[in-house]
Amino acid sequence: MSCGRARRLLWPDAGPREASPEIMAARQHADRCPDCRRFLDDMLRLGESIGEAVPRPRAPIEVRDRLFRSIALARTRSADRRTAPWRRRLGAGLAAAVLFGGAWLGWRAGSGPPSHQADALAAIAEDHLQAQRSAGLISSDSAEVVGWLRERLPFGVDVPLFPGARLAGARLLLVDGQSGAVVEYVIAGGSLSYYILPGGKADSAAEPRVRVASRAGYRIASWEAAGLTHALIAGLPGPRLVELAHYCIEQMMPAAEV
Amino acid sequence: MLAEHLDALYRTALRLCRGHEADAEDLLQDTALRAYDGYDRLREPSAARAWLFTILGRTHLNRVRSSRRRPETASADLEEPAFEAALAEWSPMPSPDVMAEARQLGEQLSRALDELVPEQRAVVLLVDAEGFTQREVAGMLELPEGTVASRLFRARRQLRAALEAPARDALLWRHQ
Repeated sequence: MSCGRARRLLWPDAGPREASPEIMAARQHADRCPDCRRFLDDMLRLGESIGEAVPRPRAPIEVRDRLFRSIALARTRSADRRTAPWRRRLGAGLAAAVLFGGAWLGWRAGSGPPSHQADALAAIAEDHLQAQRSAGLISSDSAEVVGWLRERLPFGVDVPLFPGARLAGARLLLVDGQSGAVVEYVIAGGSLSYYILPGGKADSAAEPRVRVASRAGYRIASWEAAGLTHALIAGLPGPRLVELAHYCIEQMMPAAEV
Repeated sequence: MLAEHLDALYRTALRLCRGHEADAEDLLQDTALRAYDGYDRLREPSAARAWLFTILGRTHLNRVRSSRRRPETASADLEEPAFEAALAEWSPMPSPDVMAEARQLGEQLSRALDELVPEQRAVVLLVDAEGFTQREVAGMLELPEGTVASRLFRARRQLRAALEAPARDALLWRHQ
């Protein structure tokens, strides 16, 4: 067998090969031929060297923004093509009523019966599952997200920063005729949603109390402040979610004091 | 899903487009929109990375083909006998020290990658830089495995030639 044929048959990185008589002969050839063994070793080393030397720049933030904006635009257009306006409005209204009516009532009740609270949290968990395809703003620019929400909500919303999380965008909720918002993040390869709903205790001197519950496999950390109900939901461990909630509260505190 | 793989897609698009940022962004955007349109066809979420790179690679090569006035495949591919002859002619690489030095030569490697024909550049980026197997790349680019192997070999041979001399020079300079 020639060296060229043996090298072709034993060419590295080609995945598992059937031990055919020709392959066996090629292996026997390589065992006896230092040049072929060297060739196979060279191919592996060269591939590794190229892989390590290739520059690995990260996608610039403006490239990310333009990319996600173009997808958001495509998403909006495809939704427009698929749904007539009156049907879209009706569908959105019904969905919002079903998903968030109970949620809002649960939050407003504050210390209401546990079963109502449970329904509210289940509705939020269900929304979190369905959220990825709903229309909204896709942006990693916090100033843009704040501006977008400010134009659409009757109350001010801060967009908090969380360690290890990347801002992904925001969307609106309509609950019993009142607007709320969800700010979306990506954290640890999953999604983190920050809900801000109308209703909740007004400010007090004490730091808000964070409550944790589990629904549909997700954990929800919620608290009330500034006349709003806030909730964080993600597939993270409870202590981590509470830690993120406190990050959020700390960032809100200076704004509330002003 | 896209956000998770965006950096890898961006750097591959940048090298496929020979460092032209505007072209890379255009390619990335085209890839993202095709992925969005075809998302329902992705059955297995764990295959998302390979699926996105498949779209990127095919989109790029389709653009290259459509920009050419006539088909150009002969320069990128070798027939089996010619491939075996090229394999037999391989001269052994220098000491491991020199190739270790070559790993520091990112800028030279970028320039050398830009000199490859697009078909070879796509294969070497997907296999050596992004870690896909040759079989996976053959499926991604709808090519026979032998064609992927021959493109990869020729690309590595050309990159070796571009890296070896500067790596040796850098090593000698350091030991002076």
